[in-house]
Amino acid sequence: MTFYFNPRSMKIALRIQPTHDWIHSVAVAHQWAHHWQAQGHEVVAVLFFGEAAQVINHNESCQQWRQWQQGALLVCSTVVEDRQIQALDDHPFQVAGLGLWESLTEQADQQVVIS
Amino acid sequence: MNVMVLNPNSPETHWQDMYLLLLSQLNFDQPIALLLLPGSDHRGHWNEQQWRALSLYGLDQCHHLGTQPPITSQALTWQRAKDLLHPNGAPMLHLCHWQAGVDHTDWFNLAAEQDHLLMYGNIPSDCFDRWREQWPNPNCHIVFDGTHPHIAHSIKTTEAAALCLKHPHIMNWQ
Repeated sequence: MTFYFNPRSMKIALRIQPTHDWIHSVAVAHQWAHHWQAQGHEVVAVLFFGEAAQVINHNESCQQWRQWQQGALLVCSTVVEDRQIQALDDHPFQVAGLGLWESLTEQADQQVVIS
Repeated sequence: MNVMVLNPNSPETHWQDMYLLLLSQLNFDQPIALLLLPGSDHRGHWNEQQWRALSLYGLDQCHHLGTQPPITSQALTWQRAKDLLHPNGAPMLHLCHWQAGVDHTDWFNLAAEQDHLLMYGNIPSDCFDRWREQWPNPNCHIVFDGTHPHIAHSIKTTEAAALCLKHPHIMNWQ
């Protein structure tokens, strides 16, 4: 895969494998996405990997993303189904698998992968 | 090739999350290698069936720095592990959220000469100085987010966000 840096405008896909310090991982991802958008880039997808319920039920994390105004699609990938996901229709996270992520990243000029 | 680094000292929940990610990536035929850092016994985190499933799903590269896991795995030195993380010599960005009482710096052995370290959190300046002395180059920064005192070698969050666009692969350390 070829990566390049265009300072003017890029479509960026961010994939993050959170550490067990979930709050920090989510906060950093949000902070970066916000800055990239402020600089004129477009964030086409953000993928967190973990149990979706962990993202959704985390009030502090979720609050940050609820203020997201840019319309970027957020994808929380999980293989583990959790019935609590169904009860929160208004959360900004879309639960999906890596298949959707793969198709979204095809639109991106650059992937940023945090392992 | 993507390298998944696992620390045996991480909580079991993290290992289970990473296990699912690993299986998903293998299911999508994404090339991935597993690198196990030294620490406690790996067997306590994944059971025999899980280890076997990784082989069945086609994990063909597993490396370890400490205990041999219950699948075919290659023992590496720190230098070889560092080479594995830096194919073609591409620089990496390392993130670390400093926490009081946690002072693990073993993973500094995986940092190459041209790598950058971004530290988050309210790290005391004397502690940061100690980390800077151990980091292999001057590219060691604290990200100043306005919530803690501004100390030397700090950079703004905008600079951190720009820096990570220049490093397609970033390691997140605990």
